[in-house]
Amino acid sequence: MSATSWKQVLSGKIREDWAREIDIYETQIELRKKGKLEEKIFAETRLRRGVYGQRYDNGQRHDGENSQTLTYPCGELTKGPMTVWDAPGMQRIKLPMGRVTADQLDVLCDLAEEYSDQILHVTTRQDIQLHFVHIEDTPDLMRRLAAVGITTREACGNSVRNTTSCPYSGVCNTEAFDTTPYAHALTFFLLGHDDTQDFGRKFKIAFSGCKDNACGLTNFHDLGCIAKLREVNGKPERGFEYYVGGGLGSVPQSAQLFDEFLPESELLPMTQAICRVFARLGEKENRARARIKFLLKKLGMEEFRRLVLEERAQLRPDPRWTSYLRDLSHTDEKPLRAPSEASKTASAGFKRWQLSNVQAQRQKGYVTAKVTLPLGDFTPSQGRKIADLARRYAEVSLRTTVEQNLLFRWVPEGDLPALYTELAAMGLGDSGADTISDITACPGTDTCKLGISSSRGLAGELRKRLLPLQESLDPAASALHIKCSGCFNSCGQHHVADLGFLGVSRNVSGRRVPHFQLVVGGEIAGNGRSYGLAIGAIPSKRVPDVVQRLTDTFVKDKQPNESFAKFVERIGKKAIKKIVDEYTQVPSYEEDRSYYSDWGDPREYTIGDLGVGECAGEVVSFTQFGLAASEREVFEAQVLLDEGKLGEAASRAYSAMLQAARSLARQKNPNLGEDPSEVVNDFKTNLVDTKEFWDPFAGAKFAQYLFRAHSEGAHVAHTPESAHQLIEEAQLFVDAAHQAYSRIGTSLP
Amino acid sequence: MQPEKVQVKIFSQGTPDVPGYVPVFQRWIREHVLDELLIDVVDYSHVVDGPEVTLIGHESDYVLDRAEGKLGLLYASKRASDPKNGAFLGAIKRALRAAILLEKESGPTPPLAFGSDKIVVRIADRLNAPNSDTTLEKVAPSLRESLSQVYGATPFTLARIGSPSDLFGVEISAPGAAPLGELLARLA
Repeated sequence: MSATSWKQVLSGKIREDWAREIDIYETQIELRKKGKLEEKIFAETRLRRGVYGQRYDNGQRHDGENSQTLTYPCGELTKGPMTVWDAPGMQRIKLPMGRVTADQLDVLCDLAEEYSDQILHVTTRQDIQLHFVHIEDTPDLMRRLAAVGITTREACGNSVRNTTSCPYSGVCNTEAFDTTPYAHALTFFLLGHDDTQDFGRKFKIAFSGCKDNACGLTNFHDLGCIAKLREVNGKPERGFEYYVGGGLGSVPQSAQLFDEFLPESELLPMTQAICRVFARLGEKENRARARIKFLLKKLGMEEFRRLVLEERAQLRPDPRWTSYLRDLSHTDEKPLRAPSEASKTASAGFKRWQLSNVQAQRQKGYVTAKVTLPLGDFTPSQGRKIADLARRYAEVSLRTTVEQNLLFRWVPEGDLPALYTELAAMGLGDSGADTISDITACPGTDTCKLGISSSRGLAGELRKRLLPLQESLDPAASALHIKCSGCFNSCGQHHVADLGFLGVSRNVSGRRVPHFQLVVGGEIAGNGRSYGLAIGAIPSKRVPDVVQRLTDTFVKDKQPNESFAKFVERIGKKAIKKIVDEYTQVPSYEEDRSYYSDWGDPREYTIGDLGVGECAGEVVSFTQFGLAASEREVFEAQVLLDEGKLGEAASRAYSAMLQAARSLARQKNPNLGEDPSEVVNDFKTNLVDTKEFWDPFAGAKFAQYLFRAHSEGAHVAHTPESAHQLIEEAQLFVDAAHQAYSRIGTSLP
Repeated sequence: MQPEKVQVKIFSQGTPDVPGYVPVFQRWIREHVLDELLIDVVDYSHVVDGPEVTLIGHESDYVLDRAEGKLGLLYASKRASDPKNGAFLGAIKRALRAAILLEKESGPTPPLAFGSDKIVVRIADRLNAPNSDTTLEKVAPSLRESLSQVYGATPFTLARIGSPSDLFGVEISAPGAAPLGELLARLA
C-alpha cells in the first residue's frame, strides 16, 4: 500500500489551529495506547472532539439468553472508564445552525462509507452522527472534515454544544430578522473560548427568528435567543428576547426570561458573562444537577442576573463582540437560478408532497423543500445525489432540521416538479413532513449506552403503519407530532410532542418487559412552549394500538379548531388514562412471548446482564404491589395538579415516592414502620448507601428527589411549576424503584 | 497491491424476506457461527436502496445490502486483512462462506439464494485506492490471481464501475460459474 496519509494529502488545506488540535488529539491517542495518559482525562479529551461511546462498549452484550463477553484484540486497553478501546463508537459532527454545503455533504458521505456502517444520521439537534466508528480512524475522519470547514470540537463533553437554529432563517415569512449571522458569530466566538472550558456540564444554545412558531425550540435550551425588533427614535433596532436555563432531560424546565430586549451588540459579551458565571458557580460534583437550570434555580433569576451583569462589567473588551456586525451579509445565501412559477399540471404524488413538504419563502418565486428522512437516516448514495440536486436547483447549502430532516432552500418554484421527481427516484419523495408519520426518535437501545427501550424500533413501526394512512387520515390527526425517547434523558424531545413516548422497563413475573411512558399534551409551537405529563407505562408492543386509539378519540371528540393539548386539558388526564388502561396489561411469558422483546430486536428484552432469581417470586408480588400503588399516586398527583390543588398534588407526589421506597426497603427490614422519617432513613441506609438503589449513570440522583421532598416537608408553598416538577421527579423515582427492584430482586431474602 | 478494507458483494436472486434475517444474525452472534468477533445487528430496512440488515463485527461487517436496488450480501472488511489468503482472496472466501450459510437458514421465507456468475469487489479507501483506471491497473494482477483460484477454468471479465466520487469498484462477470459451494471448496 502507499505510504501516503490524509495528514500529508490535506496539509495546508486545513485551518492551522484546527490542524494542530487534531495532531494533538492523535498524539493523545498514542499516549493512551502506551498507558501514558490517564483514562479519565483521555475520555474527556475524546468527548470534546465528538468521539462518543456506544452501546456494548464495556465489552459485554446480552445475546437474549446470556451476557457474553466481546473479546476484542486490544485486551485491557480502554478509552475511558468501562469503555473498551476497540469497541466501536459514535462520531458526532456539529453542523452549526444545521448548515451543510454540497461539498461538505459529499465528504460526510465518503466518511460514512469508509469508517462507519454506511448510514448518516441526522440528530434532534441538527448534528450528523456516524456509528460503529473505530477510535483510531477518528483523527483522519476529523482532518477530512476540517478540510471542508467542519470541526467536531466540543460536539460532546462539558462544553458548548452545537448551536441550533430555525432552518428557515433568512427565508422565513414571519421572522423579525435573519438570525444566521448572529448564531454564526456566537458559535465561533465561544468555540474553544477560555470561558467555556470549565463547565460542570454541557451548554446548549438555540436561535429562533419568531416567537410563536416551533422552529428554534428555544424554550428548552440553556440559552435561547429569539429575534426581536424595536424602534428607537424612529429607527429600527435589532436585539433578542434572551432566555436562560431551559432544558429537557429527566426534569424538563422552561427557560426563564433574562432580558426582554438584549441589543445585538450585547449578544456575545452577555453570553460570555453567563458562561463565566456558569463555569464559576455551576455544580461540578453532582452531574445530575450541573446544568445551568439548576444554578438558576438555586440562585433565583434576580441574583443570577445581578451576578451576570457584574461579570459583564468586568469583562475585558474584545473586538470580536461587535466586529461581525459591520457585515451581517457574510452568511447570506444567493440563489443559483432565477425565480419561476409553478406549473399548473402535476401528479397527485407531487401535490401531496408539495402540500406537506414545501413552503413559500419570503423571497417571491422561491420555496423551501423538506426531504423527509426516515428516522433521520440516509445513505451515502442518497447524500451525494442530494448534494448534486443542491448544486443544480438551489443554493448550495442545505440545512438539517430538529425533526431529523433535510431542507433545500432557494428552490425556484418552477423547478419543484423536477426536484420532486429526482427525490422520489432515490426513495426520498415521501410526503408528510412535520406530520404524524414524520416521527422523531433518538438512537435509544440501537446504539445508545443509556437507552432503555427501542425508540427507533418503535418509531419505525409507527411510521410503517402511519405512512400508508396519510391520505385517509383526518387532518387533525395528521397534524399531530409523535416523538420517542429511549430513556429519561429525553433526546427524542418527547416532552414537547402531542404524543410523546419515553422508554422505561417493567418487571412482570420476574421478567423484564419493554415499556414506554405515554406523555401527552406537550406543545411544539411557541418554541416548544409547554411540556406534557406522563399518563402511564404501556408495553412497547401495544403503543401502536394506543396511538391509533388516541388519534381516533381525538378526531371524534375534539371541538372545532381544538389542538390536541387543549383537548387533553379539556377532557382531563383521568379520561386519557381510562382510554389507554386496557392496553397496559402484559400477558404471561408462556401466553405471548412477543411482549418480552422490543421492536426491531428479537432478543429477549433486558437492560443489563443481571437476571431475576427464582426466589424473587414471593418478593415480586409484594414489591410490585407497592410499586403499582406508588404509580397510582403519581397519576393522582397529576390529576390534583390539573385541578389546581397544588399542595395536595405535591403531597401526593411525595407520598408516591415514600410508598415506593417503603415497598423496596421493607424487603430488607420487615419491621419497617410507616413513619416517613423512619422509612426515609431506612431506605437511605439499606438501599442508597449500599448503592443498590443506584443508577449506573445517574448515581443517587433519583434517591435525592425523595430526600429533598422529605426535608422540605409540607412547609413549601408550591407554584404550578414546582408542583409539576415534583410530580416529574416522583415518576422518575418510581421508575428507578422498578429498576432497583429488578436488580436487587435476586439478593433479597 | 494488497489493499485493506476490501468489500465483496454477491447478488441475490428472487425476493427474499430480508427482515427475517435479523434473528438469524442475532443467533450467529449468540452461537459464534463465524470465526471472528461479531458485535451487533442493525436494522435499516426503513432506508431505501441501502444497507437493510447489517451484522456488525470487529474485523468485518456482513450486510444484506440493496444499493442501486440490487440485493446481495456485502462483505466489508474493516481491519487488517487475512495475511494467509491476501486481501482479495480472504474477503471473497469470507463472503462465500457467509452466503452459503445464509442460504442454508430455514427461518426466513422465502430464503436468500445467491447467484455465482457476478460479484462486485470494492475498496473502501479513497486515499490509496481512488476509483480510477490507475487503481485498477495496480490491483488487477492480485485480483485476477485471486479470481483465477475462485473460478478455476471458467472465464471471467473485470470492468471498473461507478463514478470518480464512488469507492473503487470492479464488477466481475463469470457466466457459467459453478455454484457457491464449489467455488468455496476450491479455496479450502
